[in-house]
Amino acid sequence: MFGTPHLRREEFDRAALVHVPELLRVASRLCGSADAGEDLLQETYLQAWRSFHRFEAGTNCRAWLYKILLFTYSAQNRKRARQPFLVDLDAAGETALLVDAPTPDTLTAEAVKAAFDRLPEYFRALVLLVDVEGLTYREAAEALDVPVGTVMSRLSRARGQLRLQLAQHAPESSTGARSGMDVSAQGRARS
Amino acid sequence: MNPDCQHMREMMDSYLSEELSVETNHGVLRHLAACRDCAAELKRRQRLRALLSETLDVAVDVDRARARITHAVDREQRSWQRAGRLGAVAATLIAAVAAAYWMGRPVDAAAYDDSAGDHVACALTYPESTAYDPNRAAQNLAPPFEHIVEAIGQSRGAYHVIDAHMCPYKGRNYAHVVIRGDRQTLSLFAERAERGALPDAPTTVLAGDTLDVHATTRSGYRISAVATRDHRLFLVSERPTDPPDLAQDILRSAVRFIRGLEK
Repeated sequence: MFGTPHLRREEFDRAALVHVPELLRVASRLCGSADAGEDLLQETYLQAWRSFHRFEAGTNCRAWLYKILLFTYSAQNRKRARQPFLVDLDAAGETALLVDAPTPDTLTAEAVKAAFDRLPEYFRALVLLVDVEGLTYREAAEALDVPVGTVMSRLSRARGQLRLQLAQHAPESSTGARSGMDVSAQGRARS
Repeated sequence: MNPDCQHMREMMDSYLSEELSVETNHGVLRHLAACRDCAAELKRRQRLRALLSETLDVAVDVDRARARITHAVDREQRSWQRAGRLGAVAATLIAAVAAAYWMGRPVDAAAYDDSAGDHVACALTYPESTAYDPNRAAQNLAPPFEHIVEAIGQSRGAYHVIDAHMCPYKGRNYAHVVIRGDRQTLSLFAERAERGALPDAPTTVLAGDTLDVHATTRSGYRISAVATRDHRLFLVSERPTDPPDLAQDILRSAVRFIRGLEK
């Protein structure tokens, strides 16, 4: 009810502000800079505060904040790109690899960053949440508002695409030879 | 690659994320002890994760970010408290003065963007399992909108109301009804018309009614807006397409409810 939320300010500070360090790191990584990450996080917390009257004490505040962070991030991107995040999501969901590319022997930070940047936005967020930040599959599912099975299948595709990107841009001697796989022969037909 | 190794590669990342059952974990360890290729691939994937974490690292200032957030929330809280102190009578007077002032009706340029923004910030954060609780809605709605859910109906075909409350978004004060159905989430917003006219948008006529519907797309969301004498209604659809007939029925019922308030 209007006017009620400010009564919960202490509860908001106690439940939500404790997650600032972790969410700031994720926001900055998503945006690629600390300044943009701070802007995103401030908007996320303002929106969380405006919706805090709906937050149920005792439920997972961290996952709730992640959910708002990701929606805020995707809404900002939609404004810039004039394109719905959900379209990206669906397109990404349909992209699958018939060949599971092996990870190259020789990995450099530059190559890993370039491969990560080439992933679709939705896949980047998934890999960041689970493989970098260490969220469980269930927590990622709550943050993205999808079933756990969907997280697992999309994460598998995201990781496969990341390895494929690395293999395609790695020196020839560093990948593929031992497994006999032709990493250039990727398939994208399976739905 | 033999089927065991193929199966191992499929489970390898879940193993690294510690998401496997104890039994499956033991199976992985047994295979890794016997298979040098898979053990080597596991090390490469561990190295890939470490490099990802390292290369995506950004130096952040947590104290500064926390101070910015606290300041922004303080400012918003103060604006709510000021609005609350005005009280219902003062708010009515202000509305009357504003209505007089806006006889020439300035345009509320943020009308559509704010509706889409509140839809994202509020409606889309509801868990999938949320079910309508009339007591919660009664507690969180405020006059004159406390009967808006009964007016539009809790269920209409595939669409079901999952919650209703007042939403203090960016200084607005919407009655917000969250509706789910047909694999999408809809928001119905109702507010007093105190911010000026709706911006121009392609206009269509709402079937079975005499009101014009301003229909536009913002941030990928379809927004159908109707202005009555003293109020405005927005129906935000999760998909950038026209709402189907049932969604238009919801909007039509809401218009009738609002007109009833204005008699």
